[in-house]
Amino acid sequence: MSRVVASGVGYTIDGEDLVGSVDLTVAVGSLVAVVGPNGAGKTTLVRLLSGEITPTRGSVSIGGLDPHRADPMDLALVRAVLPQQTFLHFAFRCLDVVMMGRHPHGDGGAEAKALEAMTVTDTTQFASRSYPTLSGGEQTRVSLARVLAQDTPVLFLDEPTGSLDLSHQELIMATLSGLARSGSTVIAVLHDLNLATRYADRVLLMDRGRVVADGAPVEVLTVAAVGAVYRVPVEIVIHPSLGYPVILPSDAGAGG
Amino acid sequence: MSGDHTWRVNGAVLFGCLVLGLVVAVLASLGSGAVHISPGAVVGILLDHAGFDGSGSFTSQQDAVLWSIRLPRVLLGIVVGGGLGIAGAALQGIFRNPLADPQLIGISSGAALGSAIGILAMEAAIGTLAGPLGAFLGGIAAGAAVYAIARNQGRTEVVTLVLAGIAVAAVGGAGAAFLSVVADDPRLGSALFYSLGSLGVATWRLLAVTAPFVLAAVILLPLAARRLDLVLLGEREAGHLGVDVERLRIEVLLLATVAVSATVAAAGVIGFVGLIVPHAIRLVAGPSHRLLLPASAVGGALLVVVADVVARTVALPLEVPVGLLTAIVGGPVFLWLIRRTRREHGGWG
Repeated sequence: MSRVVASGVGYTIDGEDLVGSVDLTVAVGSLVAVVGPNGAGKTTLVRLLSGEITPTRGSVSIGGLDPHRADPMDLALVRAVLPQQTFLHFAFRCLDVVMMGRHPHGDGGAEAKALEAMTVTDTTQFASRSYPTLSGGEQTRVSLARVLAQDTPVLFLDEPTGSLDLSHQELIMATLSGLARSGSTVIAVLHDLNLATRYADRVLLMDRGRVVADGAPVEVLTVAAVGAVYRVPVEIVIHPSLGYPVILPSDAGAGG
Repeated sequence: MSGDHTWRVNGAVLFGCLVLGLVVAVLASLGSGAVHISPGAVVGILLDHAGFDGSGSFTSQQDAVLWSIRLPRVLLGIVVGGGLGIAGAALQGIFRNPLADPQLIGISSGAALGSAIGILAMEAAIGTLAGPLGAFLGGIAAGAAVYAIARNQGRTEVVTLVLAGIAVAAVGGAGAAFLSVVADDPRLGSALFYSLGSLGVATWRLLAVTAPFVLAAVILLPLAARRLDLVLLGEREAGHLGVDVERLRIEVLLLATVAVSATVAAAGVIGFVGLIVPHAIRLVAGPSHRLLLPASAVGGALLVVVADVVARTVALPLEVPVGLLTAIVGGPVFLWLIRRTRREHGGWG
């Protein structure tokens, strides 16, 4: 069974292909990492898949819904989206922000569900703090709690770990992996290739608007592929105690 | 817990205080002026007109002054202040911009010009609705023009919105004043009326024409409260959470413009009410629109009723334009808000 399907999806603006033709089928219960260098089209691809922007060609389906025809509220019960950053200039309490994630479900039990989601992202201590006063990483965790509170089978996350410290990166990735194990479909843009190799079931490697490799992390993130796409020589070593592959820039890159 | 915001006033308490303040202000306003009427006599006259047997402790002159002059004027003050307060709160929400005041973004002045043109062009044909209808068309045209200029690639630019608003407000205000001087028509307000407002023309008839439009906004805008909260999170985020942002924007703009236009047709351009009242309420009780919208209506009514009673008693027998008083209070408050915003968020760029 597939939850997210893209057929020949592309996005062209001012004659430039931000995303080429992407065909993609994402199954139920998987964590897909979208990786690639800056400007590769990762964010644009996620915005296309989540229905936020309309593709200039091709089509998308999320849980059987066409995101551009479906009622926005029906769509909001199927998929949640975490943007790179949420700028909020009004002094909402963090609990209020997370409770906004319950909007598609109506009011019943919103606070309990919100607090549950805040426990998962380790943000209950911020419940009555004003959101704009938090640091960038704290804001990301509160926003992630909002997305989890929306309680949808499909999640699109643009750099959920971008501004997080080491322990919270692990916490969030383990949470996302757990969601995938319990049947959710999670599509996340990641910059840290080692988080992708360790937690993702599948990796999409993007370069210049195209998906250049798609498959299991060890198949996609090879020395040759990563070196070619990121234009930096890398080595892959095995983690001494945990045994999974770790990607490191190699010495040859130091001289430039 | 550091930075705890438990200092925030409970919404019901704030709302209760505002309503109580409004009742006191209304009684004080009804009693004040060249003919003094005690609060007891005010209540007696009101009960008498409501069909109860009044205690009779008032004169027929007091009855006439209160019933024909002061009561419609105070009620118009409530309607005008309520409309400006709730419209300001809603516009600030939908534009995600604390500067989106009906006057600053040009809607009020557009409505003033539209109202003057409407009276000159249509009153013979359609009667007293010509003013509010012309005001609505002018307000919509001004709002749409400013919005179209400030909108760029799916974002509303804060600085452009305010700059375009200043330009449109200048043209609308000058146009209305120009017509007022050149047409020399007693049906039009004075140039001062169009720039600083007045409740001096209040009658029961004017109240009946104005109130339904403001009431529509006061009843319907709170239905958008939760969606407006989500829009503050971001237009994209609101869309992800199931809000049809484009539709909401049109609904809110139309309702706010209807309310503002009706107040301008009735009482001219009274500035700062839609700006400072929602700001003050957010400061005390937080930004959630479920409280902000109704509380801004009551707070706006309170501010205008108080400003009007001062306007007509401070220099007896002269009357000062009510917009002078809201500006004297509003200007300094606004400067303080600018400084405070810069300290907290680094300003608006």
